[in-house]
Amino acid sequence: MSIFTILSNRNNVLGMNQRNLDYIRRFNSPRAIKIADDKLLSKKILSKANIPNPKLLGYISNYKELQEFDWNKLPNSFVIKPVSGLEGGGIEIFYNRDRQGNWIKADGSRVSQTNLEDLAADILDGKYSLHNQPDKVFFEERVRMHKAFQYYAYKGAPDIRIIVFNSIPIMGMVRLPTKESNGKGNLAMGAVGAGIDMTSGVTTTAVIGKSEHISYMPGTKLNVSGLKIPYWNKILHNAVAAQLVTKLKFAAVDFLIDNVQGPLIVELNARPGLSIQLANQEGLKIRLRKARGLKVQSIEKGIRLAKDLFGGDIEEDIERISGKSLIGIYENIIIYPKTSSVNSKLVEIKTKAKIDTGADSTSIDEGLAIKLGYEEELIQFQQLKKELNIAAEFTNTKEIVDAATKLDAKLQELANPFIICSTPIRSSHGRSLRLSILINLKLGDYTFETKATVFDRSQLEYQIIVGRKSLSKFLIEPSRT
Amino acid sequence: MEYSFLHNLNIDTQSLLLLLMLPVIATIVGIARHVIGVKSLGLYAPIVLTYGFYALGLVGGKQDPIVGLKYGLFITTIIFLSTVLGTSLIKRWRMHYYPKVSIILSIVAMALIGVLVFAAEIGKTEFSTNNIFALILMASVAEQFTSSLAKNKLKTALIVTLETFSISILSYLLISLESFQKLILTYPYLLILTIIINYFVGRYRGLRIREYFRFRDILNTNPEEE
Repeated sequence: MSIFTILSNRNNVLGMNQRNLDYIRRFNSPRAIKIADDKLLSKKILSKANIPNPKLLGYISNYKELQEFDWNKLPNSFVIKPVSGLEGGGIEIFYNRDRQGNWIKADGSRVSQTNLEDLAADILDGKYSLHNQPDKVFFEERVRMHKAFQYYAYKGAPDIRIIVFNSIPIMGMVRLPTKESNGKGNLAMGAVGAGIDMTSGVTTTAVIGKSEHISYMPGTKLNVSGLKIPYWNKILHNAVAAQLVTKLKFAAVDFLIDNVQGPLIVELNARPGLSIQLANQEGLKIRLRKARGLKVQSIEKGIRLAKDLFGGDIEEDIERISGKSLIGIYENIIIYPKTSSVNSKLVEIKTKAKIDTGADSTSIDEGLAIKLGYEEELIQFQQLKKELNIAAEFTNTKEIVDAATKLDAKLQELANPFIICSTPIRSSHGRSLRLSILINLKLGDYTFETKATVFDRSQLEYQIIVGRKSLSKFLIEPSRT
Repeated sequence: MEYSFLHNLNIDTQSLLLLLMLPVIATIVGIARHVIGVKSLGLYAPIVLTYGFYALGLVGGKQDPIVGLKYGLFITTIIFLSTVLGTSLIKRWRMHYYPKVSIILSIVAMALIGVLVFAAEIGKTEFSTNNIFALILMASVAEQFTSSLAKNKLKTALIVTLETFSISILSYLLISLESFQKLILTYPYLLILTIIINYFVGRYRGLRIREYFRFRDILNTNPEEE
């Protein structure tokens, strides 16, 4: 822990004091805050602007309406919410209805109409609202979880939060309900919060609860990073659109993704929490500073700015997510000498290799193979070819296959661990049988053993080409140099 | 002892002192929240509790911090526990907020009467005569406890309560320091300083000390190249 690192990073992280003074109070007007705090009002405004949100099924404003409310009008599956609820309090989700007329929750427990009336009365009394002010109840359709989250979410559907400022998406997070959080997306209750790369919409780092870092979903071997959020561009677009239509300048927009309808806005927040910084392992302040004062003419421009300014190093992300190393078409590689060679003077050879996805296997120059200590193998191969009277070139497939079978049988008898087999090669020179040996090389981030066919490449530009069979650990980016 | 001009006006020193300490305590609460990051149940609760400790610590006209803390913490704990008990007892009843708080206050009052009876039994009669207003003020903090319990889980409510207690203890220890009392009485103008301090605390935009811990992992990674 270095005090200097902390002091220099201090200006990247957004704290509560600055959030309140410089962002909420400065950029969010009381009128805009009122819209965000009133979920019915925000739904109305979003729907008017054609921004998708879960369908409103009904609402109850007071006790009189509660007494007259016809519960049977509700579908079997719905969500009940307080209009001015805080942190998900008072929200219940019902999946179905049984024959006795009870609604069924995610955990299988049954709720009667009387229970529901009690809950609605609690909400009206202000049990879940700010300062216990009297509140209203509303009902909306239940969002059916998108398949992408199937293995990641426990019971509840994950919600995606985008912080938008000045028409630019600033940071994103997905909250994945866990067993510990009892299917709720509340980080304080033990849900997982994963940061999202703004460019690709793929999850990066994650925390569980308020601060503990995790790599895997609790109790599984499922990597939290690398989850691609479906409809990412649409989410960014609607987040900015919602910010514009509600006139909130600094807002957190929460989405659920419906399996059929796509992203739906479930909540707007005028006072975004700060935990999103922990999920992303990055400060908000540095990003907000970059976004401040920019003139953003269109939503598309805002999204492009977000991707350019806040998207991670994509190469690094791809490598981390896929576990593959990113390489170009020409790479400097190291080939190690034959491991059990008696000649200890042999040294590793550094050379430039051509990465050739058009070639099936790797091929190495004869001279180079000898320098690496494979002379013995080459001599054995030539002797066998002579003994068995194998032609240097072939004209048809049957001949070459027969010859290869014969040769391979003999090669196996040698029991030389560095000889793999004879490999029929079809090249511009015609068809021939070549020796395949086992070599060790370092390419990109990996050192590995691979099969390489040997032939005379002295007239060619590259002494080694790396073919498909040796490239399973790599992604090839042709524009990379 | 010669204090300031205020002394010549023949105002009771204790009353003067308590009034002068009000902005000091309020400033401490502000610093605790915005600079340190210690939350309290509003401004009212820590101030009332501080004065409660002070009143309970007055023994024969002299301030004894040990007595003040002992009785003060005992009474606040009784109040908090009876609020928790009251809240859980009437949790199932659907009621409006004020009658609910009233019921809880009744339970708190009964608990405090129990304490007074017990004190009288063991012969500590000074408890009831000197400090009844302090006790009533402290009991009213039950409303803050109730609202905190309604909104948070017990654990969270307990943490905020403990933080409120610690701010009150700190404030109490400061205002009961004899040297600090003398300083304020001699230079009452020092109160202007609290306005200046509050001006700066009110405009402080930096991270709270607690946030340095909360975000330590981000703060501790090497800054990215810009």
